[in-house]
Parts: sequence; C-alpha cells; structure tokens
Amino acid sequence: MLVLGIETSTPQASVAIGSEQGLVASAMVSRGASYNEFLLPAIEFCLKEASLGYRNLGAVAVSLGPGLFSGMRVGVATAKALAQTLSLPMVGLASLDLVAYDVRYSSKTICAVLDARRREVFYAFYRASPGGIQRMSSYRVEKPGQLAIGIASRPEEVLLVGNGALLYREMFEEIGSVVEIGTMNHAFPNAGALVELSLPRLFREDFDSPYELKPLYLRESARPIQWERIRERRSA
Amino acid sequence: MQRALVVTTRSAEETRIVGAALAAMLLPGDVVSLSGDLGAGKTVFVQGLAGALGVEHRVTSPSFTIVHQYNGRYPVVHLDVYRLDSFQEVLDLGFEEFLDSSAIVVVEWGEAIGPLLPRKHLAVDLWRGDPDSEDERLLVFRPHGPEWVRKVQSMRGTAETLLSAFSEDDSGQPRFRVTTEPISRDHRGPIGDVQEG
Repeated sequence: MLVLGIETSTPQASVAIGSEQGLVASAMVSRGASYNEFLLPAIEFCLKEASLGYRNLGAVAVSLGPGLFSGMRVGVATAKALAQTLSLPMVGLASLDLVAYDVRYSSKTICAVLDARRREVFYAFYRASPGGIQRMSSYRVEKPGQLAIGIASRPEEVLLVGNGALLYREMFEEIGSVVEIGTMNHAFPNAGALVELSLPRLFREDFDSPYELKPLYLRESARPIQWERIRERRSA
Repeated sequence: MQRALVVTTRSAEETRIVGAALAAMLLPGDVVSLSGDLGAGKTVFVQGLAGALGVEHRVTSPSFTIVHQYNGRYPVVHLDVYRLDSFQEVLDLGFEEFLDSSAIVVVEWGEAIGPLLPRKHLAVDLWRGDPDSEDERLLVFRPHGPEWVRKVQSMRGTAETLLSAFSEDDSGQPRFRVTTEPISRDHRGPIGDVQEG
C-alpha cells in the first residue's frame, strides 16, 4: 500500500511516499519556504519523480504535532482534504513519536524534545519495544529547566533527541553523563518515519476519521486578548 | 521600570524621520511593537521605517487587512492585531512563522499579545503631545533586552542628526529625554523637566 506522509509541524517540513517495501520518494525543506508554498508542490514532485499519480496512493498519514501552530494546521488540513477527495483512509501520528522512532535502537530511555518557542519545549518519554517504540508519558509542554529537573531525578540513562534537546543542550548536559544528546540528523520528525510508523496501523485498519482528526495543541491559545486592560492602561 | 527614551516630534514628517532613524538599527528577526491611538502616527512612523529599509511599495495601515508584507533590503512584515480577539487568531496568521522568518516584524498593538512576543523586542508607544498642538507627538521607546538598549541609544544619535538636517522646526526646544516614569495620557509634562540621561 502506497502511503503519502506529511510532516509540517516543525521548521523542517517533509513529504514522503512509501510502502512496506520502503520509501519511493521524499522531499524536505528547512525554514525558507512557508508550509503552504512547500507542501503541494512537494507532494507533486514526489509523485512525478516516482512516476505515480494521486490515484496510486492508498492512504494518507499526517503528523499532528505538537509543533508550530500554522505548520500543524496546514499539514492536517491538506491531509484531510486529500483523504476526503481521494477517498483514502488516514492516520495521524504525533511528531514526538516520529522523533523517538528514529532512535529506537537505543537501549536507554528516549526523551523526544521539540522546541515549542517562548522558551518552552514539547516532550514525551519512550522506550524501545520490539518493532518500534512505546510511549511512557503523556505529551507535555514545559520550560526546559523543569524537564531537566525531571530527567535528573530519574534513575536511568536518558537519550534526549530533537531540536529542543539541541537548543537547550547546555541545560541538559549539566545533569551529567547519564544524559546523551541526539545529533542534528535526528533533530526533526520526518515524513519517512511517519510513513513507516503508519503502516502497522493502516494494516490493522486502525484509521482516524478525517472529521475528528485535529492537531495536538498542548498550549491553550484560545485565551482572549485583554483589550479592556490595554484601553484602561492607556487612558489611566 | 526600565528607562524609556521619549522623542518629541512636531510634525508627521518628523515622526517619519524618527521611523527612518530606527530603521537604520534594524536587522532581520527584529520585532518592534507599536501602540498608539488612531491618528497617533503609527502608519506614518512605519512609512518612515519601511522607506528607509528600501521598501518602495506604498505603506498603508494594516488595521483592516491585518497583515502587510513588503520587500526592501529585508522583508518587512507589518501587522495589526487590533481587530483580533484571541491569541489563537494571532497564531492563525502564522505569527510564529513571521518571527521565525528573516523578516523585520512590526506589530501594531503588540503590547496586547505580550506572551507571544519574543523577550527581546522594542516597544514604541505614540501619544499626542501638547493639547494645544495638532501635530506634536511623543514617541516613547522602551527597549526590552540589552541589544535594544544599545539600538535605542544609536537611534537617538541618528535621529538627532536627521532631524537637525531635515526638519523645518527651528524652535530649538529639546526633543529627547530619558525617563523611568510610566508615560500616560495625563503624564506628558513639559519637555526638559526630566533629568537628561
């Protein structure tokens, strides 16, 4: 089954097409182009280079974040539109799962850490399990210092991976030698891992409804702007 | 309270000149928050700023269109959050991506979305000045972060030079003062009553 994978929740966006036999095409861009400028041309590039058409696709997999607000929304909206138009099943997976999946060969506890901006990080803990990874915590958003304290209090060795781990590496390295930081090569979730990780769910027919799927917002952003307070401050 | 630089301008042209002086200090990624009531001169200030950055397109108020993007020496994103009601709407615009791009971001009413602004930024507050003067404005520059303290200092020098070269005002009254006091509608005070910094 050919799966189209869409991952646009971090500053490094990617698209991949692949099946249980491996990837056939992928495209990636880091920063630069905006997601909506990148996404559809990248999908068409992958299809064209692999001599495929939309009709050859069997499923759509999308990264739900947590990550950058507009990136997640563009990715999820595009995936839903394609799944509905082409009548394809879809699955959504967390960006942090993809980052952890990339380093699943480690025997240490894995902590996937993505930069959440505003001096916070998104993270979750994992351990390798036969054929993949198992998540051991909920998805969280916190100050990196708080995460560092949490890691320091754990008895086991921890592999921190993701752009958030790199951004605040000094803070994490202070914990000592029980902490290892993953390299840049694994810093972002990628659509290739997304395709691979979606396949077991697709084979189980464990699909997500395009009507219910939404990005993983870990932060409350529906908070209203306090205009009254601004006006009062200015007329004081 | 951090020290603020207060610049008095006596015409729209002078406000434009101060905007241009600020532009000389700006680099990609810099964020400037502007506040000021209707007619305080926000758009004129941005016109001066954008013009000095080589933007040729006419700069207009983004109050209704919300986001304007210009290309000069650097990309300039000019947005106004005044008509938005929630942080989510601001994020929907791709606000974090603007911050992440190599653009200079000028956000009108940025003070309303403080938690979304980077810690290091410049807040500029525009007030009407002397009630007897139609055109007098007070431009209050509040730097957030040491880089901005330096930039505001340099801007002051540039603004002094530009104003003395191009302004038609020859009243000789002082235009610059440094204050630690909050500035508000009823706290303008005659220029020069605060110790120079």
